[in-house]
Amino acid sequence: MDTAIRIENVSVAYRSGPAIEGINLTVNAGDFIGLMGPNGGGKTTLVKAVLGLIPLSCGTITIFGKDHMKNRHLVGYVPQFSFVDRTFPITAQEAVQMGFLKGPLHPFFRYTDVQKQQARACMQRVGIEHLAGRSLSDLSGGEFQRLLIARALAVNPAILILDEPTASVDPAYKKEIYTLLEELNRTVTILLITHDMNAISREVKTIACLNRTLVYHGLPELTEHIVNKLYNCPVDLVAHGVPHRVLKSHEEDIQS
Amino acid sequence: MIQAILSYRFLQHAVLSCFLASIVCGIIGVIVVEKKLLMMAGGIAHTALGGVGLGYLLGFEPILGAAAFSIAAALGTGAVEKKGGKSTDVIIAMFWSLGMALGIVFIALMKTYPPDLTSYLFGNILTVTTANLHVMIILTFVTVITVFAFFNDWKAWIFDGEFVSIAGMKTKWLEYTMLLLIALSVVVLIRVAGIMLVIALLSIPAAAAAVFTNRLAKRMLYAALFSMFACFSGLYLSYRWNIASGAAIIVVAVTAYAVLAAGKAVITHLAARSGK
Repeated sequence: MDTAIRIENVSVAYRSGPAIEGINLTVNAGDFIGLMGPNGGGKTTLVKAVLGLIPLSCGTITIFGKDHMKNRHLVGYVPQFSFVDRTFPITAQEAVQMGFLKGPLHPFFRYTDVQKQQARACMQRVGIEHLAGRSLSDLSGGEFQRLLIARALAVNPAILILDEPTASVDPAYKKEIYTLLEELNRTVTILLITHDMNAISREVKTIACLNRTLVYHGLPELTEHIVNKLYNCPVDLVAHGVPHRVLKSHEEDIQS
Repeated sequence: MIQAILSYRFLQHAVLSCFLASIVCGIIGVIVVEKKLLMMAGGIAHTALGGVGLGYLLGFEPILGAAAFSIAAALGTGAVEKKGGKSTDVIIAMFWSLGMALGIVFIALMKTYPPDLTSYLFGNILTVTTANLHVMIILTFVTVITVFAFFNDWKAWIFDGEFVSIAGMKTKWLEYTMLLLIALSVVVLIRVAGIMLVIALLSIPAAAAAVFTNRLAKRMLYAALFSMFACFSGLYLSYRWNIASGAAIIVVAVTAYAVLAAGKAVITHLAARSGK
Protein backbone atom coordinates (compact mmCIF):
# COMPACT_ATOMS: atom_id res chain seq x y z
CA MET A 1 0.00 0.00 0.00
CA ASP A 2 1.22 3.51 -0.79
CA THR A 3 2.22 5.80 2.01
CA ALA A 4 0.39 9.11 1.92
CA ILE A 5 2.14 10.84 4.82
CA ARG A 6 5.22 9.64 6.63
CA ILE A 7 6.24 11.50 9.77
CA GLU A 8 9.62 10.49 11.14
CA ASN A 9 10.95 11.55 14.51
CA VAL A 10 9.33 14.97 14.24
CA SER A 11 9.51 17.54 17.01
CA VAL A 12 8.23 21.09 16.99
CA ALA A 13 9.12 23.55 19.71
CA TYR A 14 7.66 26.97 20.38
CA ARG A 15 9.40 29.51 22.54
CA SER A 16 7.29 28.31 25.44
CA GLY A 17 8.62 24.79 25.04
CA PRO A 18 8.10 21.66 22.97
CA ALA A 19 4.63 21.28 21.43
CA ILE A 20 5.17 17.82 19.96
CA GLU A 21 8.09 15.49 20.43
CA GLY A 22 9.47 12.48 18.63
CA ILE A 23 6.42 11.79 16.51
CA ASN A 24 6.55 8.79 14.20
CA LEU A 25 3.41 8.24 12.24
CA THR A 26 2.65 6.70 8.88
CA VAL A 27 -0.64 7.36 7.13
CA ASN A 28 -1.39 4.91 4.34
CA ALA A 29 -3.06 6.06 1.16
CA GLY A 30 -6.79 5.52 1.44
CA ASP A 31 -6.77 5.72 5.21
CA PHE A 32 -9.28 7.72 7.18
CA ILE A 33 -7.34 8.62 10.28
CA GLY A 34 -8.78 10.40 13.28
CA LEU A 35 -6.31 12.49 15.26
CA MET A 36 -7.43 13.10 18.79
CA GLY A 37 -6.07 14.34 22.06
CA PRO A 38 -6.57 17.02 24.69
CA ASN A 39 -6.50 20.75 23.97
CA GLY A 40 -2.90 21.86 23.76
CA GLY A 41 -1.88 18.29 22.97
CA GLY A 42 -0.34 19.37 19.66
CA LYS A 43 -2.92 18.16 17.13
CA THR A 44 -3.04 21.40 15.17
CA THR A 45 0.72 21.79 15.53
CA LEU A 46 1.32 18.37 13.99
CA VAL A 47 -1.01 19.11 11.10
CA LYS A 48 0.59 22.51 10.49
CA ALA A 49 3.99 20.84 10.53
CA VAL A 50 2.82 18.39 7.88
CA LEU A 51 1.55 21.33 5.81
CA GLY A 52 4.86 23.16 6.18
CA LEU A 53 3.23 26.10 7.95
CA ILE A 54 5.56 25.85 10.93
CA PRO A 55 9.21 24.79 10.91
CA LEU A 56 10.27 21.44 12.31
CA SER A 57 12.78 21.42 15.15
CA CYS A 58 13.90 18.01 13.96
CA GLY A 59 12.70 15.05 11.93
CA THR A 60 11.38 14.65 8.40
CA ILE A 61 7.95 14.55 6.83
CA THR A 62 7.21 13.17 3.39
CA ILE A 63 3.99 13.32 1.41
CA PHE A 64 3.65 10.58 -1.19
CA GLY A 65 7.36 9.86 -0.98
CA LYS A 66 8.62 13.42 -1.50
CA ASP A 67 9.62 16.05 1.02
CA HIS A 68 6.43 17.62 2.35
CA MET A 69 7.37 21.10 1.12
CA LYS A 70 7.46 19.74 -2.44
CA ASN A 71 4.21 17.83 -2.27
CA ARG A 72 2.05 19.79 0.12
CA HIS A 73 0.05 21.20 -2.78
CA LEU A 74 -1.60 17.76 -2.95
CA VAL A 75 -3.30 18.47 0.35
CA GLY A 76 -6.68 20.13 0.73
CA TYR A 77 -6.67 21.88 4.09
CA VAL A 78 -9.74 22.76 6.10
CA PRO A 79 -8.46 25.00 8.88
CA GLN A 80 -10.17 25.49 12.17
CA PHE A 81 -13.14 27.65 11.53
CA SER A 82 -12.12 30.29 14.07
CA PHE A 83 -8.75 30.84 12.34
CA VAL A 84 -10.39 32.32 9.23
CA ASP A 85 -11.80 35.83 8.88
CA ARG A 86 -15.54 35.43 8.44
CA THR A 87 -16.11 39.10 7.62
CA PHE A 88 -13.77 39.24 4.64
CA PRO A 89 -15.51 41.09 1.78
CA ILE A 90 -15.92 38.36 -0.84
CA THR A 91 -18.65 35.98 -1.98
CA ALA A 92 -18.81 32.32 -1.08
CA GLN A 93 -18.01 31.45 -4.68
CA GLU A 94 -14.90 33.65 -4.67
CA ALA A 95 -13.67 31.93 -1.51
CA VAL A 96 -14.07 28.47 -3.06
CA GLN A 97 -12.30 29.54 -6.26
CA MET A 98 -9.20 30.32 -4.24
CA GLY A 99 -8.65 26.57 -4.16
CA PHE A 100 -7.67 26.78 -7.85
CA LEU A 101 -4.74 29.12 -7.24
CA LYS A 102 -1.73 26.83 -7.62
CA GLY A 103 1.88 27.87 -7.90
CA PRO A 104 3.77 31.04 -7.00
CA LEU A 105 1.95 34.07 -8.43
CA HIS A 106 -0.78 34.77 -10.97
CA PRO A 107 -0.34 38.11 -12.71
CA PHE A 108 -3.45 39.35 -14.55
CA PHE A 109 -5.18 36.10 -13.70
CA ARG A 110 -8.91 35.61 -14.13
CA TYR A 111 -10.82 32.50 -13.18
CA THR A 112 -12.05 30.62 -16.25
CA ASP A 113 -15.68 29.70 -16.78
CA VAL A 114 -14.73 26.07 -16.32
CA GLN A 115 -13.23 26.88 -12.93
CA LYS A 116 -16.34 28.79 -11.96
CA GLN A 117 -18.39 25.73 -12.87
CA GLN A 118 -16.05 23.51 -10.88
CA ALA A 119 -16.35 25.81 -7.88
CA ARG A 120 -20.13 25.43 -8.10
CA ALA A 121 -19.72 21.66 -8.23
CA CYS A 122 -17.57 21.70 -5.09
CA MET A 123 -20.19 23.80 -3.34
CA GLN A 124 -22.87 21.40 -4.47
CA ARG A 125 -21.02 18.50 -2.88
CA VAL A 126 -21.26 20.16 0.51
CA GLY A 127 -24.79 21.41 -0.13
CA ILE A 128 -24.20 25.16 -0.30
CA GLU A 129 -24.51 25.76 -4.03
CA HIS A 130 -27.45 28.09 -3.47
CA LEU A 131 -25.22 30.37 -1.37
CA ALA A 132 -22.65 31.02 -4.13
CA GLY A 133 -23.44 34.72 -4.47
CA ARG A 134 -23.72 35.45 -0.77
CA SER A 135 -21.17 37.47 1.16
CA LEU A 136 -19.15 35.52 3.70
CA SER A 137 -20.52 37.67 6.48
CA ASP A 138 -24.05 36.51 5.64
CA LEU A 139 -23.22 32.82 6.10
CA SER A 140 -24.08 30.92 9.27
CA GLY A 141 -21.40 29.05 11.17
CA GLY A 142 -22.33 25.72 9.65
CA GLU A 143 -22.49 27.18 6.14
CA PHE A 144 -19.08 28.77 6.56
CA GLN A 145 -17.66 25.48 7.76
CA ARG A 146 -18.98 23.74 4.67
CA LEU A 147 -17.56 26.52 2.54
CA LEU A 148 -14.10 25.78 3.90
CA ILE A 149 -14.54 22.13 2.93
CA ALA A 150 -15.69 23.14 -0.57
CA ARG A 151 -12.56 25.28 -0.94
CA ALA A 152 -10.39 22.32 0.05
CA LEU A 153 -12.19 20.16 -2.53
CA ALA A 154 -11.44 22.76 -5.20
CA VAL A 155 -7.77 21.91 -4.71
CA ASN A 156 -8.67 18.45 -6.07
CA PRO A 157 -6.65 16.97 -3.23
CA ALA A 158 -5.11 13.53 -2.84
CA ILE A 159 -5.16 14.08 0.92
CA LEU A 160 -7.74 16.01 2.87
CA ILE A 161 -6.75 17.40 6.27
CA LEU A 162 -9.56 18.78 8.42
CA ASP A 163 -9.10 20.55 11.74
CA GLU A 164 -12.22 20.08 13.83
CA PRO A 165 -14.76 20.51 11.05
CA THR A 166 -17.64 19.70 13.39
CA ALA A 167 -16.63 21.96 16.27
CA SER A 168 -19.33 24.56 15.79
CA VAL A 169 -22.12 22.88 13.88
CA ASP A 170 -25.38 21.31 14.88
CA PRO A 171 -25.74 17.53 15.21
CA ALA A 172 -27.78 17.06 12.02
CA TYR A 173 -25.07 18.70 9.99
CA LYS A 174 -22.39 16.72 11.78
CA LYS A 175 -23.87 13.53 10.39
CA GLU A 176 -23.96 15.03 6.91
CA ILE A 177 -20.30 15.96 7.14
CA TYR A 178 -19.28 12.47 8.17
CA THR A 179 -21.33 10.94 5.38
CA LEU A 180 -19.59 13.25 2.93
CA LEU A 181 -16.16 12.38 4.31
CA GLU A 182 -16.87 8.66 4.07
CA GLU A 183 -17.86 9.14 0.47
CA LEU A 184 -14.75 11.23 -0.28
CA ASN A 185 -12.60 8.64 1.41
CA ARG A 186 -13.17 6.28 -1.51
CA THR A 187 -10.69 8.35 -3.51
CA VAL A 188 -9.01 10.61 -0.97
CA THR A 189 -6.89 9.96 2.10
CA ILE A 190 -8.36 11.79 5.06
CA LEU A 191 -6.79 13.07 8.25
CA LEU A 192 -9.33 14.44 10.67
CA ILE A 193 -8.67 16.28 13.91
CA THR A 194 -11.61 15.95 16.23
CA HIS A 195 -12.79 16.04 19.80
CA ASP A 196 -15.77 13.99 18.85
CA MET A 197 -15.21 10.52 20.27
CA ASN A 198 -18.41 9.28 18.69
CA ALA A 199 -17.10 10.12 15.27
CA ILE A 200 -13.74 8.63 16.02
CA SER A 201 -15.29 5.29 16.71
CA ARG A 202 -17.80 5.05 13.90
CA GLU A 203 -16.37 6.71 10.85
CA VAL A 204 -12.62 6.47 10.91
CA LYS A 205 -10.45 3.52 9.97
CA THR A 206 -7.58 4.25 12.33
CA ILE A 207 -6.93 6.68 15.12
CA ALA A 208 -3.87 8.43 16.44
CA CYS A 209 -3.83 9.87 19.94
CA LEU A 210 -1.58 12.80 20.59
CA ASN A 211 -0.61 14.41 23.85
CA ARG A 212 2.74 15.98 23.03
CA THR A 213 3.95 12.52 22.12
CA LEU A 214 2.08 9.95 20.09
CA VAL A 215 0.25 7.89 22.67
CA TYR A 216 -1.51 5.46 20.38
CA HIS A 217 -1.88 4.68 16.72
CA GLY A 218 -4.02 1.85 15.49
CA LEU A 219 -7.54 0.61 15.16
CA PRO A 220 -10.24 2.84 16.59
CA GLU A 221 -10.72 0.86 19.72
CA LEU A 222 -9.88 3.00 22.66
CA THR A 223 -9.15 1.31 25.89
CA GLU A 224 -9.55 3.05 29.16
CA HIS A 225 -5.83 2.81 29.63
CA ILE A 226 -5.11 4.80 26.47
CA VAL A 227 -7.71 7.42 27.22
CA ASN A 228 -6.38 7.86 30.72
CA LYS A 229 -2.88 8.20 29.40
CA LEU A 230 -4.07 10.66 26.79
CA TYR A 231 -5.90 12.97 29.12
CA ASN A 232 -3.68 12.38 32.13
CA CYS A 233 -6.70 11.81 34.30
CA PRO A 234 -9.34 9.15 34.54
CA VAL A 235 -12.08 9.66 31.97
CA ASP A 236 -15.32 7.83 32.38
CA LEU A 237 -16.02 6.75 28.84
CA VAL A 238 -19.46 5.28 29.43
CA ALA A 239 -20.73 8.27 31.34
CA HIS A 240 -19.89 10.47 28.36
CA GLY A 241 -22.21 8.47 26.18
CA VAL A 242 -19.51 6.97 24.04
CA PRO A 243 -20.77 3.90 22.21
CA HIS A 244 -19.83 0.59 23.64
CA ARG A 245 -17.53 -0.24 20.78
CA VAL A 246 -15.05 2.39 21.80
CA LEU A 247 -14.62 1.03 25.26
CA LYS A 248 -12.85 -2.24 25.15
CA SER A 249 -13.55 -3.92 28.42
CA HIS A 250 -11.22 -3.12 31.25
CA GLU A 251 -8.00 -4.89 30.51
CA GLU A 252 -5.35 -4.76 33.11
CA ASP A 253 -2.50 -6.05 31.00
CA ILE A 254 -2.35 -3.46 28.24
CA GLN A 255 1.01 -2.81 26.72
CA SER A 256 1.58 0.47 25.01
CA MET B 1 -12.64 78.54 -6.10
CA ILE B 2 -12.74 76.97 -9.57
CA GLN B 3 -11.35 80.22 -10.95
CA ALA B 4 -8.59 80.12 -8.37
CA ILE B 5 -7.74 76.52 -9.25
CA LEU B 6 -7.37 77.48 -12.89
CA SER B 7 -5.14 80.41 -12.15
CA TYR B 8 -2.91 79.25 -9.28
CA ARG B 9 -0.36 76.52 -9.73
CA PHE B 10 -0.31 75.67 -5.99
CA LEU B 11 -4.04 74.92 -6.11
CA GLN B 12 -3.59 72.74 -9.17
CA HIS B 13 -0.95 70.82 -7.26
CA ALA B 14 -3.29 70.53 -4.31
CA VAL B 15 -6.13 69.14 -6.41
CA LEU B 16 -3.89 66.66 -8.16
CA SER B 17 -2.36 65.46 -4.90
CA CYS B 18 -5.84 65.00 -3.41
CA PHE B 19 -6.69 62.84 -6.36
CA LEU B 20 -3.53 60.72 -6.12
CA ALA B 21 -3.74 60.38 -2.35
CA SER B 22 -7.33 59.20 -2.61
CA ILE B 23 -6.50 56.45 -5.07
CA VAL B 24 -3.70 55.23 -2.85
CA CYS B 25 -5.60 55.32 0.39
CA GLY B 26 -8.59 53.63 -1.21
CA ILE B 27 -6.49 50.67 -2.31
CA ILE B 28 -3.93 50.40 0.47
CA GLY B 29 -6.37 51.47 3.19
CA VAL B 30 -8.67 48.54 2.46
CA ILE B 31 -5.74 46.12 2.46
CA VAL B 32 -4.36 47.52 5.70
CA VAL B 33 -7.75 47.37 7.41
CA GLU B 34 -8.47 43.81 6.22
CA LYS B 35 -5.00 42.61 7.20
CA LYS B 36 -5.44 44.40 10.55
CA LEU B 37 -2.19 46.29 10.18
CA LEU B 38 -3.37 49.79 11.09
CA MET B 39 -0.99 50.09 14.01
CA MET B 40 1.89 48.99 11.84
CA ALA B 41 0.90 51.58 9.23
CA GLY B 42 0.81 54.19 11.99
CA GLY B 43 4.28 53.18 13.09
CA ILE B 44 5.62 53.33 9.56
CA ALA B 45 4.13 56.79 9.07
CA HIS B 46 5.56 58.23 12.26
CA THR B 47 9.01 56.81 11.59
CA ALA B 48 9.01 58.94 8.44
CA LEU B 49 9.57 62.08 10.53
CA GLY B 50 13.11 60.89 11.15
CA GLY B 51 13.69 60.91 7.41
CA VAL B 52 12.20 64.36 7.06
CA GLY B 53 14.55 65.64 9.76
CA LEU B 54 17.55 63.99 8.13
CA GLY B 55 16.60 65.51 4.79
CA TYR B 56 16.57 68.99 6.29
CA LEU B 57 19.82 68.38 8.16
CA LEU B 58 21.77 67.06 5.18
CA GLY B 59 20.02 69.27 2.68
CA PHE B 60 18.18 66.75 0.47
CA GLU B 61 14.48 66.54 -0.35
CA PRO B 62 12.77 65.64 2.96
CA ILE B 63 10.13 63.50 1.22
CA LEU B 64 12.88 61.15 0.00
CA GLY B 65 14.17 60.85 3.54
CA ALA B 66 10.63 60.06 4.62
CA ALA B 67 10.44 57.35 1.97
CA ALA B 68 13.72 55.77 3.08
CA PHE B 69 12.74 55.77 6.76
CA SER B 70 9.25 54.41 6.03
CA ILE B 71 10.64 51.58 3.95
CA ALA B 72 13.18 50.72 6.64
CA ALA B 73 10.44 50.72 9.27
CA ALA B 74 8.15 48.58 7.12
CA LEU B 75 10.80 45.96 6.42
CA GLY B 76 12.00 46.10 10.02
CA THR B 77 8.59 45.47 11.57
CA GLY B 78 7.90 42.85 8.90
CA ALA B 79 11.05 40.95 9.80
CA VAL B 80 10.19 41.13 13.50
CA GLU B 81 6.66 39.92 12.88
CA LYS B 82 8.05 36.95 10.94
CA LYS B 83 9.83 35.85 14.07
CA GLY B 84 6.48 35.96 15.77
CA GLY B 85 5.62 36.51 19.38
CA LYS B 86 3.87 39.23 21.22
CA SER B 87 6.71 41.66 20.76
CA THR B 88 5.46 43.05 17.41
CA ASP B 89 3.44 45.75 19.17
CA VAL B 90 6.42 46.79 21.21
CA ILE B 91 8.67 46.98 18.15
CA ILE B 92 6.08 49.07 16.31
CA ALA B 93 5.93 51.43 19.27
CA MET B 94 9.72 51.73 19.24
CA PHE B 95 9.91 52.51 15.52
CA TRP B 96 7.03 54.93 15.99
CA SER B 97 8.67 56.94 18.76
CA LEU B 98 12.28 56.53 17.65
CA GLY B 99 11.43 57.91 14.22
CA MET B 100 9.80 60.98 15.70
CA ALA B 101 12.62 61.45 18.21
CA LEU B 102 15.25 61.25 15.46
CA GLY B 103 13.32 63.83 13.46
CA ILE B 104 13.47 66.25 16.36
CA VAL B 105 17.14 65.47 17.04
CA PHE B 106 18.15 66.01 13.39
CA ILE B 107 16.31 69.34 13.29
CA ALA B 108 17.96 70.38 16.53
CA LEU B 109 21.39 69.62 15.05
CA MET B 110 20.79 72.07 12.20
CA LYS B 111 23.05 75.12 12.34
CA THR B 112 20.53 77.27 10.48
CA TYR B 113 17.13 78.49 11.58
CA PRO B 114 15.01 75.31 12.13
CA PRO B 115 12.25 74.64 9.61
CA ASP B 116 8.63 74.32 10.65
CA LEU B 117 7.65 70.66 10.85
CA THR B 118 3.95 71.36 11.14
CA SER B 119 3.30 70.88 7.45
CA TYR B 120 4.81 67.38 7.63
CA LEU B 121 3.02 66.50 10.86
CA PHE B 122 -0.44 67.72 9.92
CA GLY B 123 -0.21 68.03 6.19
CA ASN B 124 -0.24 71.11 4.08
CA ILE B 125 -1.77 70.42 0.76
CA LEU B 126 -1.35 74.02 -0.32
CA THR B 127 2.44 73.75 -0.30
CA VAL B 128 2.90 70.61 -2.41
CA THR B 129 5.96 71.19 -4.58
CA THR B 130 6.47 69.94 -8.13
CA ALA B 131 9.09 67.52 -6.81
CA ASN B 132 6.58 66.17 -4.25
CA LEU B 133 4.07 65.76 -7.00
CA HIS B 134 6.43 63.80 -9.22
CA VAL B 135 7.19 61.41 -6.37
CA MET B 136 3.49 61.03 -5.67
CA ILE B 137 2.62 60.29 -9.30
CA ILE B 138 5.26 57.57 -9.58
CA LEU B 139 4.31 55.93 -6.28
CA THR B 140 0.61 55.99 -7.06
CA PHE B 141 1.27 54.40 -10.41
CA VAL B 142 3.41 51.66 -8.85
CA THR B 143 0.76 50.96 -6.22
CA VAL B 144 -2.13 50.71 -8.67
CA ILE B 145 -0.25 48.46 -11.09
CA THR B 146 1.04 46.14 -8.36
CA VAL B 147 -2.33 45.66 -6.73
CA PHE B 148 -4.24 45.38 -9.99
CA ALA B 149 -1.84 42.91 -11.64
CA PHE B 150 -1.90 40.45 -8.74
CA PHE B 151 -5.41 41.17 -7.55
CA ASN B 152 -6.54 37.56 -7.20
CA ASP B 153 -3.34 36.71 -5.36
CA TRP B 154 -3.82 39.62 -2.95
CA LYS B 155 -7.40 38.66 -2.36
CA ALA B 156 -6.66 35.02 -1.58
CA TRP B 157 -3.62 35.87 0.52
CA ILE B 158 -5.35 38.47 2.65
CA PHE B 159 -8.27 36.12 3.22
CA ASP B 160 -6.19 33.10 4.23
CA GLY B 161 -2.42 33.26 3.81
CA GLU B 162 -1.80 29.77 5.17
CA PHE B 163 -4.14 28.14 2.70
CA VAL B 164 -2.55 29.72 -0.36
CA SER B 165 0.99 29.09 0.88
CA ILE B 166 0.20 25.36 0.93
CA ALA B 167 -0.74 25.64 -2.75
CA GLY B 168 2.70 27.11 -3.38
CA MET B 169 1.94 30.83 -3.51
CA LYS B 170 4.83 33.17 -2.82
CA THR B 171 3.33 34.61 0.33
CA LYS B 172 6.60 36.13 1.51
CA TRP B 173 6.84 38.13 -1.70
CA LEU B 174 3.27 39.36 -1.20
CA GLU B 175 3.92 40.23 2.41
CA TYR B 176 7.03 42.27 1.79
CA THR B 177 5.51 43.90 -1.28
CA MET B 178 2.53 44.90 0.82
CA LEU B 179 4.80 46.38 3.50
CA LEU B 180 6.64 48.33 0.81
CA LEU B 181 3.34 49.55 -0.64
CA ILE B 182 2.23 50.68 2.81
CA ALA B 183 5.49 52.58 3.23
CA LEU B 184 5.09 54.19 -0.19
CA SER B 185 1.47 55.09 0.45
CA VAL B 186 2.51 56.79 3.66
CA VAL B 187 4.90 58.92 1.61
CA VAL B 188 2.12 59.82 -0.83
CA LEU B 189 -0.23 60.74 2.01
CA ILE B 190 2.20 62.76 4.12
CA ARG B 191 1.84 66.01 2.19
CA VAL B 192 -1.94 65.69 2.18
CA ALA B 193 -2.78 64.41 5.63
CA GLY B 194 0.47 64.70 7.54
CA ILE B 195 2.37 62.07 9.46
CA MET B 196 0.06 62.18 12.47
CA LEU B 197 -3.08 61.79 10.38
CA VAL B 198 -2.06 59.25 7.73
CA ILE B 199 -3.60 56.48 9.74
CA ALA B 200 -6.97 58.24 9.53
CA LEU B 201 -6.86 58.39 5.74
CA LEU B 202 -6.03 54.70 5.61
CA SER B 203 -8.84 53.64 7.93
CA ILE B 204 -11.81 56.00 7.55
CA PRO B 205 -12.42 55.62 3.79
CA ALA B 206 -12.07 51.83 4.10
CA ALA B 207 -14.57 51.82 6.95
CA ALA B 208 -16.97 54.04 5.01
CA ALA B 209 -16.75 51.75 1.98
CA ALA B 210 -17.54 48.77 4.20
CA VAL B 211 -20.89 50.40 4.96
CA PHE B 212 -21.86 49.98 1.31
CA THR B 213 -20.32 46.84 -0.05
CA ASN B 214 -19.05 43.39 0.81
CA ARG B 215 -16.83 43.02 -2.26
CA LEU B 216 -13.13 43.70 -2.06
CA ALA B 217 -12.66 45.54 -5.37
CA LYS B 218 -15.73 47.68 -4.81
CA ARG B 219 -14.50 48.52 -1.34
CA MET B 220 -11.30 49.87 -2.83
CA LEU B 221 -13.22 51.89 -5.39
CA TYR B 222 -15.71 53.31 -2.89
CA ALA B 223 -12.95 54.05 -0.40
CA ALA B 224 -11.12 56.03 -3.08
CA LEU B 225 -14.29 57.95 -3.96
CA PHE B 226 -15.06 58.66 -0.31
CA SER B 227 -11.51 59.83 0.19
CA MET B 228 -11.79 62.15 -2.81
CA PHE B 229 -14.89 63.69 -1.31
CA ALA B 230 -13.17 64.18 2.06
CA CYS B 231 -9.97 65.49 0.51
CA PHE B 232 -11.63 67.99 -1.82
CA SER B 233 -13.94 69.25 0.92
CA GLY B 234 -10.98 69.46 3.27
CA LEU B 235 -8.97 71.26 0.65
CA TYR B 236 -11.75 73.82 0.29
CA LEU B 237 -11.91 74.40 4.06
CA SER B 238 -8.16 74.52 4.25
CA TYR B 239 -7.96 77.11 1.47
CA ARG B 240 -10.89 79.11 2.82
CA TRP B 241 -9.86 79.37 6.47
CA ASN B 242 -6.18 78.52 6.31
CA ILE B 243 -6.49 75.37 8.44
CA ALA B 244 -3.93 72.56 8.18
CA SER B 245 -5.26 70.42 5.34
CA GLY B 246 -4.86 67.13 7.21
CA ALA B 247 -7.00 68.34 10.09
CA ALA B 248 -9.71 69.72 7.78
CA ILE B 249 -9.82 66.51 5.73
CA ILE B 250 -10.08 64.25 8.75
CA VAL B 251 -12.84 66.29 10.36
CA VAL B 252 -14.83 66.05 7.12
CA ALA B 253 -14.07 62.34 6.77
CA VAL B 254 -15.11 61.35 10.26
CA THR B 255 -18.27 63.45 10.08
CA ALA B 256 -19.20 61.93 6.73
CA TYR B 257 -18.51 58.45 8.04
CA ALA B 258 -20.68 59.05 11.11
CA VAL B 259 -23.54 60.25 8.89
CA LEU B 260 -23.20 57.23 6.57
CA ALA B 261 -22.97 54.70 9.38
CA ALA B 262 -25.92 56.22 11.21
CA GLY B 263 -27.95 56.40 8.00
CA LYS B 264 -27.21 52.76 7.24
CA ALA B 265 -28.18 51.74 10.78
CA VAL B 266 -31.49 53.59 10.50
CA ILE B 267 -32.26 52.04 7.11
CA THR B 268 -31.41 48.53 8.33
CA HIS B 269 -33.56 49.10 11.39
CA LEU B 270 -36.52 50.32 9.34
CA ALA B 271 -36.14 47.46 6.87
CA ALA B 272 -36.12 44.96 9.72
CA ARG B 273 -39.27 46.51 11.21
CA SER B 274 -41.19 46.60 7.95
CA GLY B 275 -40.10 43.06 7.28
CA LYS B 276 -41.83 41.83 10.43
